[in-house]
Amino acid sequence: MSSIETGKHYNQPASNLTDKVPPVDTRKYFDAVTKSLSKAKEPPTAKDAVSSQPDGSSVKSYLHIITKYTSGMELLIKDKELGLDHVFEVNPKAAPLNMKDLIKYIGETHVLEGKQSAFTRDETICPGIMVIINECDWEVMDELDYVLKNDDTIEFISTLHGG
Amino acid sequence: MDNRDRISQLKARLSRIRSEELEVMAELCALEAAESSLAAPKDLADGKLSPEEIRRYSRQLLIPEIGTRGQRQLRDSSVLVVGTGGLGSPCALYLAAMGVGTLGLVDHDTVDYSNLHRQIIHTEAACGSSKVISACLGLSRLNPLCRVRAHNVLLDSSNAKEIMQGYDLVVDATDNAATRYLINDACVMLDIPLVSGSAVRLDGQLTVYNYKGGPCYRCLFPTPPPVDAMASCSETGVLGVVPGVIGCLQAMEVVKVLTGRKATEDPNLLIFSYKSQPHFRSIKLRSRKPTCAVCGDVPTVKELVDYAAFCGSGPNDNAPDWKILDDPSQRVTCTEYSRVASNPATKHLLLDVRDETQFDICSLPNSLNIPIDQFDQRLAELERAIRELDGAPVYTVCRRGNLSQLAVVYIRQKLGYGQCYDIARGLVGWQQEVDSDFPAY
Repeated sequence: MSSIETGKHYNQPASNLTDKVPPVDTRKYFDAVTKSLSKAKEPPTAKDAVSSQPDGSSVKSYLHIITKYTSGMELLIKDKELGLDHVFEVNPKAAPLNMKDLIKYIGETHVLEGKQSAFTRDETICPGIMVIINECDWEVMDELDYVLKNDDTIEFISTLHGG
Repeated sequence: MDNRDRISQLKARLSRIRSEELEVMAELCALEAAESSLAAPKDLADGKLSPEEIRRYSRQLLIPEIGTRGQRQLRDSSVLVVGTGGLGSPCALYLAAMGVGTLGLVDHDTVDYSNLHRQIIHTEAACGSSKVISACLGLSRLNPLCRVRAHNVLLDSSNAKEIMQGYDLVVDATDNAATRYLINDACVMLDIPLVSGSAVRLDGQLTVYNYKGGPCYRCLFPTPPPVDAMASCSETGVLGVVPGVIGCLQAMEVVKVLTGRKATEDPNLLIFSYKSQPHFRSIKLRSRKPTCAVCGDVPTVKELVDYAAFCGSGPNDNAPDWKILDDPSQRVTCTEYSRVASNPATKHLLLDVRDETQFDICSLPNSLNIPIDQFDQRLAELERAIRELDGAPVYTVCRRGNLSQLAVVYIRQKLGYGQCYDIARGLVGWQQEVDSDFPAY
């Protein structure tokens, strides 16, 4: 079974995919390739992807992000993944990808059908889920407005109440 | 008398002694509750350790970080452990063993057979008895130098501050969100540091709140999570040793706070998982949030509130009983279904909609297991099973009669099959109403 899947072109309404390309492309990214961290021996990296584009004029921009799911968050993710490795082909002419975009993308693409309401709520993360950006609580890092950087690791941790 | 007789005689005697011990402890706790005051008796004027204490704690005294100074700090401190379950058991045992002078215990529950795999302060003989009394007995065996105060009550907004007042530190070893917010708010109002632990399934978390400019629980989680997102041990299970690991670490954090070591550390959240490698990770946390509703510069929560209402669920870790099917004619009782099942001429399908792990534990005879989460994937199988019924009824069953109602809705509305009923109260009800030998879990 292949663990690679192609993400949606989500910033564009589905109907636009078949219509003619709009004059100014406002999509923040064109494509997203995701591998399972546990299954992939060699996760895709932005560096690899860029180096495969030798023609300087048409170099594509890539953004490599790792997402992790712990303390039960993995139960919301398709195939109960503990970690995913994403490479976004970003649109250099659009605004950069931020946490709000990432949460929306994960919610739409990787969260189990019917479990979305336990992941996102009111365009942000559900209460009770901690978001950790590079080992640091996202509250000290602009939260939804945090602009994703290459090789960032974003972790989603649900709070536990049992004992 | 041969050996075998003697063995059974001794075993009977042992179990007599064990239940007698509990009776003695219950009376002792009641008498002591009327007597004791929280203040440690300062009978040693110079505060020095007694020869007995030196002998008992010698291995700890040898560590420079603790020494006689640290040991005296532990002895002269009082710690309240709320909850004597999976976290509170090891935590209280270690705090008493290490020499904390006064230990308060709060629990309103009784010991259940299903607690014993993780709540190691309790014994089989204590099943059915008060957890607090059982815990006092465990601690008294271990270290009579530790003064234990038993609070055999459910901690709530009306009594929390009164009970917590005067303790140097509170340990949150509870099992539900409502009590976690209650304890946090009371700790902020009384200015008491809070050592908070939690554990479910294979994961655990540990944080010290409300300490030296660090955050409180509400700084991190201003809004309670949706009710259906809260996992409890009774619903989703827990590996025995996982709360044990976290409870032990809570006891360690208590030592660090009481001896002052903790003041040198930045606020952090420790995350433990059975599955991850390494098992432990520490996440850096924010400091106190100036806009926090309870510990902020201008607090809006100044008194304890109704935490069951705030969280949408009360102070227990049991699943609520859902009411999905309004029409009572779409439900049958366990007794009614037992009549259907006992008549071999009655054609029907018994559809068990629990997950495979639970189905594996126990199931009713002749049941088909299709977990409700797999209805869409296994639609063809489900439709075939229903087609073969020729109009005979489908009975859906689960653990408590919650998911089975959703299954009825699915089969009636999505598949358009009207002959579908849910067995109210599920297998728990079956064990209580029909077959007491059926395993309850």
